Amino acid sequence: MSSKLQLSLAITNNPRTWPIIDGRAAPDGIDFTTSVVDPSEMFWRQLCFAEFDVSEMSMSSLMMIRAQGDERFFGLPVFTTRRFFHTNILVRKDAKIDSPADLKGKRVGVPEYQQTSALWIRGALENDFGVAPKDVTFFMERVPARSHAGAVGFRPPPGVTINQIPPEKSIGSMMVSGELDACMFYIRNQNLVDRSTEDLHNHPAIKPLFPDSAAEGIRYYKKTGIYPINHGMVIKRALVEKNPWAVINILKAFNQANEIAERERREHVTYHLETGLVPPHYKDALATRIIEHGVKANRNTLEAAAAFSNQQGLTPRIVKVDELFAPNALGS
Amino acid sequence: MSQLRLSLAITNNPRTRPIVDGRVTIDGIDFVTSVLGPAEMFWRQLRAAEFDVSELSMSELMMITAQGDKRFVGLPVFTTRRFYHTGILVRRDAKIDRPADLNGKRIGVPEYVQTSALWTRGVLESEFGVTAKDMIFFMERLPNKCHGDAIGFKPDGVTVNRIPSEKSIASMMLSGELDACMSYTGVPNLVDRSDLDLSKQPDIKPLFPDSAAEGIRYYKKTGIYPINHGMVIKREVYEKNPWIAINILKAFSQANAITERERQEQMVYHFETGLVPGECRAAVARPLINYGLRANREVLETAARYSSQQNLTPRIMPLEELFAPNVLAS
Repeated sequence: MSSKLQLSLAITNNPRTWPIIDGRAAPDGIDFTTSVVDPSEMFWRQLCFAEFDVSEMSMSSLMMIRAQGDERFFGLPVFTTRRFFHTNILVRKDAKIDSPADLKGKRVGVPEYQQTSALWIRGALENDFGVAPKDVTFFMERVPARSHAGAVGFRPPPGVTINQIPPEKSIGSMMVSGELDACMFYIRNQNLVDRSTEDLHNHPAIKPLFPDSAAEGIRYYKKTGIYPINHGMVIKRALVEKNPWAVINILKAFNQANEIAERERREHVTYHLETGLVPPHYKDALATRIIEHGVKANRNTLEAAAAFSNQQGLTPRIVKVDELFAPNALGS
Repeated sequence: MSQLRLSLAITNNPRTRPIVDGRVTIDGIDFVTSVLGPAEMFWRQLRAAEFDVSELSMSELMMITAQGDKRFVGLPVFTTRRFYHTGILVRRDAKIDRPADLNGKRIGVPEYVQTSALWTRGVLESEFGVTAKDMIFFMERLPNKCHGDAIGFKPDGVTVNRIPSEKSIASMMLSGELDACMSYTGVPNLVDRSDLDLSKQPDIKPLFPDSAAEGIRYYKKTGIYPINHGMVIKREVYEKNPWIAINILKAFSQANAITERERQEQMVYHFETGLVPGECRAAVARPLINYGLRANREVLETAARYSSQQNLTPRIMPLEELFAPNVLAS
């Protein structure tokens, strides 16, 4: 009779986590009790209360707590979500913002100043377009009791202005009323910590900063080779100390889930390739693997994020990648 | 509250997975699910009707219905398609450079009556003028493991030899006892015994050097994406519970919608990084597979015509005879 370690898991819902959620990929020796949770809410619950044994975690917040000496969690090099976040900046049409440089002096909404997507956006704005965080005035939506900032005791870096959006307003309402000129990252899905509801993407007074945002993402990727990582994963340190084997077993299960996602992508597009709806010469591109877990395959991207974090004053020094992850996952 | 417990045999593919893993549930029904390869599944169904609900070869459903075998009613759920004729393999020394060169040649086929072979012969005849009787067939499956024998198939006007049990399509393609083969998978199962990836053998080549291009040509010209399997319910189960036909069809349509969404989600990273250009986004978002009779009438009628043309059925089977009455308007 064998028994398994029962661990609580909080995870988002995407092609690379589905095989874990539905049990097709399961770590040896571990039984997950799984909660599918929106990331905004998940990170707040973890940072405030460390509710889950294993969860996804904002890479930016993980760097910040590590720099503060908060040792509750070890990182796991599993990165299920990526995006070219800066391509999603929205601006008011009447705010006279035609290029990124025009953001200077403007009022910019952000759900959570320290969130990883905002870290990447400010990093791209500063390093690709010369707009530094102190050049804009930030308005943050999440209130202290429900923010990651409140949870980790974040104070605005010197020179950066971060105003609090009052509880009766939101990024959505202030973009529509003209109290904001732009917003970095717009979260509209229902969760415990965000409250915007307006459909800004289809609002007549609002447009994307980059008219062809897909092209801007591709430009950035070609230039930097970086596909920005949003979430990593964490496991409670006390658990690893008692069960050091859990780290690699979990990593292996997520690698297996990633393999399933790779195979499924190819299966899913077979009919479109066969009928020529997607021209057959894209078959190889479609088979190309973009996402790999592990430290080695992601070191560049993680180091870029750590440099941005320090440049933006979120961390007092550049946190080393090796400080973030469980020791037995460093060779991965 | 109780649910009707039904046994289900199903293949594993993106459109069946939401049913297999339980993300889609069927109102009033609890499935006991067996994931099986189609060759084994159809043989078990045709011989002994083991499962209450299963996929079934469209070709064989037409044949048994024409024979008056009323054990099953069809459901217009079609999870697998392919341009089967593009899979024909030939020996390099067989002097076959184009489809017309198959005239007079020795052709291996796992099962003469299987749907993929029906489509392959149908397309050879309608597109390239090579009829079934122009070729000499060698069939691999043995009498006790054969769909054709399970339904009493007798070749009419065509030569269908049996491959002896100590040989296989693979061994005869390698030895030169066959010139070509169709519907070859090389994956052994309860009823097939070839176990070799022939496409990687130096003496073997595909009939169509660019088989992807041939599939696209055929699709552009005809608009047909050949269907392999449909689904069936045992008639006695259906007659006792006529509500299950539409409930099952709805569940599979829901599974299909999940698959449609997943395809787009799984492609996002490749579009965002530009590995696959944005101009393919709209194409990838386009649903290609719809269940129901309306969306598939033309492809099914073509298969029915081929079946009669090839003497597998004595007449062109009307779709109304194949499917449950309450799904005819679907």
